[in-house]
Amino acid sequence: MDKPRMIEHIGHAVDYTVFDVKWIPCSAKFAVLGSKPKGTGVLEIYELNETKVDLVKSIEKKSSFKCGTFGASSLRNRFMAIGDFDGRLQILDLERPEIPIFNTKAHNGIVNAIDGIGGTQINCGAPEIVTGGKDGSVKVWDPRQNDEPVVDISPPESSSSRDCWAVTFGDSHNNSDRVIAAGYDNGDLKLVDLRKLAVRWEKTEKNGVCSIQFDRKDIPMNKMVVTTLEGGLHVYDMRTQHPEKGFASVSEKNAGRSVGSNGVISGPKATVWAVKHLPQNRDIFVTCGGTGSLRLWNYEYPGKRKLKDSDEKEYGVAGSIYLLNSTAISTQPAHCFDWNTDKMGLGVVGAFDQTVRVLVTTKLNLY
Amino acid sequence: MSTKKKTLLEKYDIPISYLDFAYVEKCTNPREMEKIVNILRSGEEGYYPALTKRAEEKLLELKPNSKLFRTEEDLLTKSSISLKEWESETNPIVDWSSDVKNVDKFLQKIGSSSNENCVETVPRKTKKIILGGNTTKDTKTSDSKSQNRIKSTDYSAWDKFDAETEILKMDLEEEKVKEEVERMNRLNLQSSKDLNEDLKIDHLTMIEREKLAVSFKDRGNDYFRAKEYQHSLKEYNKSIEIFPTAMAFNNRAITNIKLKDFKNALEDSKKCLEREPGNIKALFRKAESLLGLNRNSDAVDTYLDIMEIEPSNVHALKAYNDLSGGYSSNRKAKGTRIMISDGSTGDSNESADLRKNKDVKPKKKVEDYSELIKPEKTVKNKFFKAMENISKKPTETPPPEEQLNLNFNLESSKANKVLIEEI
Repeated sequence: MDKPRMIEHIGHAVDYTVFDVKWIPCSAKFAVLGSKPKGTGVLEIYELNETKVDLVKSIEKKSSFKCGTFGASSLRNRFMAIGDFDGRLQILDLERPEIPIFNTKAHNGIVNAIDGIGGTQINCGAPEIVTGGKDGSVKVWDPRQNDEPVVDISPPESSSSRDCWAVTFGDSHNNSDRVIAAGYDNGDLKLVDLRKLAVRWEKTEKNGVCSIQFDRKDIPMNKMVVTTLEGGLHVYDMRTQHPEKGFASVSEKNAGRSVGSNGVISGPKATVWAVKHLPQNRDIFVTCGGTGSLRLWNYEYPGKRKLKDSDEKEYGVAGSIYLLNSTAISTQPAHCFDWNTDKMGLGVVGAFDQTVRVLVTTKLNLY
Repeated sequence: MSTKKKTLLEKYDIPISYLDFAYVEKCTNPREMEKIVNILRSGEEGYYPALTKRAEEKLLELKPNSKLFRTEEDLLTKSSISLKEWESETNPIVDWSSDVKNVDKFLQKIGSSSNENCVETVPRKTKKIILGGNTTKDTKTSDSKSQNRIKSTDYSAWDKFDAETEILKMDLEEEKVKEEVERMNRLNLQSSKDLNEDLKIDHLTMIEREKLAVSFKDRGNDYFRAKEYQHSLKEYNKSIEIFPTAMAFNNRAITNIKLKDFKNALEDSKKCLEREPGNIKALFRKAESLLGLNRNSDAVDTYLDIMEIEPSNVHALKAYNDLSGGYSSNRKAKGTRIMISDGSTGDSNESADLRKNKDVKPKKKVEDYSELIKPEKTVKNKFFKAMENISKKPTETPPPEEQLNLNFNLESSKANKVLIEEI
């Protein structure tokens, strides 16, 4: 068998709702963020030891933790930026977590999504954190500047604001260029250029956008994957923008559903909760489905990535995506996933069955 | 309003007569076949196991990657796979996790000892962007439209209105948008970091450099897979500049080969071999770049080196056979080396034999072997004929055919992957 398969290395049950899992860079440890039944936030750090995980540290704070990132921290100072249900953004030194290094009220309501950049990469600009909140605003923070966001992208005050569900950085290949992609609950997708401080492109998907990720943050934009409610999965070729048509994309319907036993799809339409690209190969990514299944996809580039239309305008050509593997890991939605950047195929996944699983995906090196 | 649910047959507009062995056999439209399989699987028209099976087989022929063949697997656990398999997959993880702990501890130590902030970039100035109902651009145009709209009764204003200039204005606006988008596309195509090439890495420790180098190498691999060799070359250059590794050199070698820069490819493969002597891929790349430089005899030597390490390497054997037909290797002179390999590697019959034979009568022999490695071809007659031709008593029988073919098949299945696996 040449196809990748997923093996459960370790399954670990916890006594709280898991919201996010993240590997701590350059270590065999991962952090689990979640919410205790009484509404307090919990951060637990686990370490892989042989064939089990050991709890290294447990931190409890007064508000449920929703999301976290190590993206803006360097290897020697691996601080975690965390967004919580109260709308606070905190940066914690995991060695001394009692007093946050950075603490601010970022949003009214839950911080739904967070992403960081500039920590370990060189020549790709300042370390920054972006948060998307329930109040519909997207804010960019510089960890050295505690009081106010460096960029605040808000809806006009008059209109009823949308709920921002997903944010991510991209295109950060030098010190000045950088974009944010933000997805909203009504399916709006906005690409904001941080250099020009203007919306560069926008589109409305059919359903609320749950997760966005560029295949790489620190290269000129190449591909972007967007997942939505009701099983939408869209892969955009971000190389070439057409003045009217925008970016070309390839889509997959029902990517969140389970595949029935003999291939006949059954069950309700399920959300695709998250998308994560493999750090060692940007053309492979995993999506987490609402029926508790993980799907591993491979993107293949088309023969020509751009063509010219009758007006001599260039437009991009989308490639195609192939399913490499589909594995049911739980009966509850799997909603957060993180690949280890140092060990190919090692991933940690969180599901609503209050279990954190360490998975090994085999044969990824063949692609 | 008909509340009755449409059957799949109606939905797909497929006549019932298509659900038949005869039609399934001659159907060539994969879409239609998918529909037929779907109907048969649903059981709406009855349950026909043999027909369903045949239709599925036919679909597999027509469209091997059809969505209908997607299946979901159960998560493999320790209890659901053999212990051997389990260990082969999880042991690397266990080993890695104990290795990475040292790195982790080291980083923790320097993290707590050094307090410096090595980032030179300044925070950006605070800005606020208010999102319009639509695009910022769109709202602007719609606003101006609503303000400047001339009433149909306002004749004096209409007199001043010059349709030509207005059209020109609109064209210019459009042109501006187009140019902006084109500029962005151009920028995107530019390789990363063309402007500031100097990498400030002096403050980094070796471990941090190594990680950084690996990330650049991975990016190079990404570009390589997308066949953008210029970009991948740049990434590999950076990776090597930060922290030279055998793998980065090896990958840069193949990139240079793709870019037809054989001189640098040769240098890179040599550097890789310095760090990892006996790296088969590096040897192949060395040979390939030597070929590109028209140094065929050196390339032949390199292929011989490969066969010394991996006697059954079919690619090397084939390349060697293709080459050495026309060019005599100067390896003949280095008799001692052959002797050594004969003595030390007892089971490396093929390569040893090959070299022995080559010394006797290179050209003819070589031809025979190149025939042998082609699969599904009976070479026996030819071989013996050749033997007779050179009037040499057939003391050595050729290696058993089946075995060779088997080897070949094994290798050829990997062959396609060599290019990908290399990175």
